[in-house]
Amino acid sequence: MPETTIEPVVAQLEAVRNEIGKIIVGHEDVVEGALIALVAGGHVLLEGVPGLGKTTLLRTLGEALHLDYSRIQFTPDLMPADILGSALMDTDAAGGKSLRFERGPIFANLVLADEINRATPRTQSALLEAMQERTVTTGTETHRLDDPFLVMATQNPLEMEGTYPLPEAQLDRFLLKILVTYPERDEMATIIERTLEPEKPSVAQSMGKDQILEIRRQAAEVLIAPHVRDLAIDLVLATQPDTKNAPEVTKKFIRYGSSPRGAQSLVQAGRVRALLRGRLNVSTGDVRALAPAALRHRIILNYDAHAEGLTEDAVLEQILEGMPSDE
Amino acid sequence: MSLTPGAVSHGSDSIALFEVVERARRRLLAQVGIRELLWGATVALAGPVLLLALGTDMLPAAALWVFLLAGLGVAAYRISEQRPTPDRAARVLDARWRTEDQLSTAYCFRERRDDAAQSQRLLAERVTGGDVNAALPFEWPVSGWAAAATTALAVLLLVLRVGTLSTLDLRAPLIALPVPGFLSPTQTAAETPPEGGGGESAQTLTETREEGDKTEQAEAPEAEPLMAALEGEGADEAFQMPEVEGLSAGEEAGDDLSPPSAEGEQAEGEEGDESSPSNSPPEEGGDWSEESENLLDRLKDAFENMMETMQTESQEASAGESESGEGEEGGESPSESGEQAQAEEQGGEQASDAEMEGGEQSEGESEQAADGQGANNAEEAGQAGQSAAASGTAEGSKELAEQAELEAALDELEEFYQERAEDVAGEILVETDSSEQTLRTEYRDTNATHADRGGDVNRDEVPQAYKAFIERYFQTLRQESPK
Repeated sequence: MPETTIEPVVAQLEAVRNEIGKIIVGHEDVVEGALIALVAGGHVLLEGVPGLGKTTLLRTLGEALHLDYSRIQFTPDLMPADILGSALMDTDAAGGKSLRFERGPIFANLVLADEINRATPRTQSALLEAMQERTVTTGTETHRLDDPFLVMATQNPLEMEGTYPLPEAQLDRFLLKILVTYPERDEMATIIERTLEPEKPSVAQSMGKDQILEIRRQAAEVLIAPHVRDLAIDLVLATQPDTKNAPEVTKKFIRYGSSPRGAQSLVQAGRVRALLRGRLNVSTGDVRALAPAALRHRIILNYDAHAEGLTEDAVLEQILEGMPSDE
Repeated sequence: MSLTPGAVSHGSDSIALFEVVERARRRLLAQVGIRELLWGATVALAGPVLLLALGTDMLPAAALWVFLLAGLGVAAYRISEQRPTPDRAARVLDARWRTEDQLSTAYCFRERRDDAAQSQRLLAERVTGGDVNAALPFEWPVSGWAAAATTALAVLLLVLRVGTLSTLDLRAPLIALPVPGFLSPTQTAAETPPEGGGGESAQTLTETREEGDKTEQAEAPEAEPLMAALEGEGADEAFQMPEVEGLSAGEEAGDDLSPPSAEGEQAEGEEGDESSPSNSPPEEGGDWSEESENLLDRLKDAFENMMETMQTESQEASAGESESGEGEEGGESPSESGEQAQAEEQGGEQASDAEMEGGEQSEGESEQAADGQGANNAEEAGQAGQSAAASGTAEGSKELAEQAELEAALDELEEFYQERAEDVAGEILVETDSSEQTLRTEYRDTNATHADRGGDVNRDEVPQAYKAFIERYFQTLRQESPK
């Protein structure tokens, strides 16, 4: 039986995962989520308590992908110009003066926005155009960002003093929001062993810019059957309490549901996930698996849900259980 | 770089895929067909069940065809509604084989000839090697249990009918429906013209009487049909026959119905004892010319049993009981009234017959039979009325007592709260579940939850900096007062 060329694609993505695995212990779903966002052309928001390796993961991903990498530590006094860049006055040898745009750290393929919720909304908004339009406008000039462009942001859910929660418009621009959880016992043992080793493992650059763009093009060709697409649509509609057939849990606990961008995210991420698993079709399993990461930051729970201690994931889980199955 | 740079043959692909999907579709169709046909059979079997229960006099035999057609229609409609498509079959196969929708996607895009679709079909071909029969096993459907239960019910009713009535005649109902719309057996008998088969019946009855001694011993276990014939329209029609009319007039009973032998009387006494407590429904009257000899035997036995009862009862007791029976049920069961009248009028005339001896021997048993049939029905009705009246009186007094207790308790509570209210000051906080409230005003007659009316606290009203404190507060509340 003739073979398709999907095997090399899977092998390349697997190589990246292996390289990241040299540094990051466990967190396979987090690594996969970051890869999915990179290939799908989205952005990823990691949320977890300090010390779980969020920053290390994204830094390692940047090292493994042979891409321009920059890190921005978000602080309350960070200004938009600190991210986007600013115009500097240059003086030539003849004494003539001119303005030169000095590019900020946003001009990179991989941008790590560490603790993004510590910056002011004004600074956070500086990322909006870059994340959605892939351009940066300063004054009258618009600069195009290099492709691939991936913003990997982290935020800490515990420390709330002196933070500015991301506005909904900003959250909606992240393809996935991935929760970083505590490692298991054996994973923690491995982490300690690696930390105690005198030589830290090195990460090889296993995939470059062109390869990523080619995989992205192939991912766009992954087929999605009508019933799988309908599942993604139904899921998004099921998060909207004002829709006709919204489930009871949605009417009771969700204040605002997901936008159509949620369905787009499900399909885009589903295509890459299928490719990672050696398939050329999106499955209902892909949609179901990606639904929490793609929708949890796109719904807003109401006060009843907070009062009952429900999380977005708990509500989404109930919605998923109510979806029809082919079994 | 392409996914399939010349690696896929475009001409011979998907054959295995289509075969597998078609096999799965056929198997699903068979399963759906069996399931829905069993539902149809259940509907169709409801006809025989009803027929066996109600009899052809209440439910015409042609209704069987209606049920059969209804069952077929139900099955055909549901099969057409649930007929699996190839896409559906492919999706079910995907779910059973856990092939991540590869088959259904390949089948869905079977018309596309681009590289992506060809490559995906190629990948799908690799997972078509599973066993379709194992993936779609036949499971005994719920409709199968329903059909089996209906069949069992039909068999049970058939056995019950044959065991009770000792005949395969489907005309008489097994159950008496207290619905006024249905013709009761008595009404049916009253509406049946007596002259239709009267002569034949009389002739057959005479013949049967001659064979009575032979058949009485064998007929002993059939006490219920006997009583059915005695209580029901069989008895009515018997009274409408020439001999019976004469008997009811108190003139020719002794001539037409010769007294049976002592053995026969004894056997009848036993039969009466067995049949008196039974409540089997009366057998439906019909064309007496077609009645079987067996039924006439039973009729004759019923007559003799009735006469025995009348002769052995004392006149005073039987007169009182007959009056009350006539007063209560005269309109409903004229045959029973006729029995009581016969007991009064023929008490002296037939006292000298040999039947008297047999009647005395089985006096107690005959009284039981009489109680079960005639006048004591009225007594029971009267007693029931008395007991109901007594019960109502008792309940009324109980309610009054409870009401008095409640008023006394409320008075005490009122005094208590008034005393307490003198010392109480401050505000009362009532906590209610916001999501369960119904807000309805006189200006707007619509239901809405509390949250819909803006009664909940907006997310933005709680500063994010206080979110943790609020969550901690609710956690503390939940810990202090777990639900």
